[in-house]
Amino acid sequence: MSEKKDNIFRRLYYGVLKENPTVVLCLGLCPTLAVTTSAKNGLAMGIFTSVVLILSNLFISLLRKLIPQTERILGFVVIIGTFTTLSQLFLQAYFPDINEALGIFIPLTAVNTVIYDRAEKYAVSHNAALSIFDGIGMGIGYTLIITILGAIREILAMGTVFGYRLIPAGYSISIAALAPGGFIILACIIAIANKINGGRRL
Amino acid sequence: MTKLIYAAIISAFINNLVLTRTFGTNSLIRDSRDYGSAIRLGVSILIITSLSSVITWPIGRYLLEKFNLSALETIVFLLIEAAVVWLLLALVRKISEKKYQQLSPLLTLTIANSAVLGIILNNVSVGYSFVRSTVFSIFGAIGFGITLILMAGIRERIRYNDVPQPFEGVPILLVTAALMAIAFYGFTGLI
Repeated sequence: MSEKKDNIFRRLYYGVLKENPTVVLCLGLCPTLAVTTSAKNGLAMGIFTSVVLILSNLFISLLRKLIPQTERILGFVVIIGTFTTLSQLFLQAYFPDINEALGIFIPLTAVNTVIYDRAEKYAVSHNAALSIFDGIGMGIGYTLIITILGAIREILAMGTVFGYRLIPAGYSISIAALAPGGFIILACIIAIANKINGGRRL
Repeated sequence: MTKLIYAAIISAFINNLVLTRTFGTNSLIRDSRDYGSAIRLGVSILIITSLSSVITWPIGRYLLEKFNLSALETIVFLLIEAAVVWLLLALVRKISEKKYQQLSPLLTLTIANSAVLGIILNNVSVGYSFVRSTVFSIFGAIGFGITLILMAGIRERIRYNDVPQPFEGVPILLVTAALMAIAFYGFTGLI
């Protein structure tokens, strides 16, 4: 794809719909499945990952001429690790309860495949403005799916969404809150997206 | 001793990393195409995790915690992992250039594998002793490898089955992982 044809709206469209990181590219499944036991956790993780993604996309794009081609993974590790640590400190200072709820998956953002994929396939070969919008588009797409997944799991497992009760207590499918429930519900979401897209992806 | 054996069984089967904590789900889906790649990834993760865990434990306990630098854990551990991978690659290169070309992309990607960093961070945050954390890393990685190999086997069978069209590709693998996870819950009765 040449840089002339590409623009910020195209980046947003690709990130949210056409190349949605979770349902089309199937990346970053580890945190997606682990933290989505409630819609609130999903939303928080989505926003956290998006912030790290946008910042690291910006810096990788700015430094793309300085990072040697052969050692680029090491460059990505340092940049993404730094922003994860910074964002984690911010979270610890202002939202300690969210930091507590997400636990080990906050530092694991430093190895989130969505961020690596965007760094490798996009930020390292495009200019800063486009890379920021790529990060924003991908971030919105990621947050959207992770929140939907969290909401579905929360309804099934606890009968609530963002804490509001929809189904009376006592009617719940407890496996939805465990890992197998996450795997199956995510599989259904991806299958629905495949059906809507009409064709097989990946 | 019995405690350690229990810890080994727990970390390999009962608290299986991929199936109960979803660490490394991406590599489970991407690298289980055939037995060869599953075994290659499993063995490299085993070596990298055990070496990095042995190195990171004293650094985490005696350097970072003592000087109140726990915030830097993530990036320090990632760099140690990268150093271990770099050393391994240098070693492989000494042995044969062809193997190096073959393994280089796989090992470089392992730096950014959530299974490896997940095990290491978990060891430090739970506060295991040195022996316990080493056992946990080795058997956690073995459990991961077993899951990968099982997945590769199931994938071979799926290839000859008629999967509903929207479920082709990743979704059917996720459903497979879910069923494997339910089966692995059966191991809870083991201890």
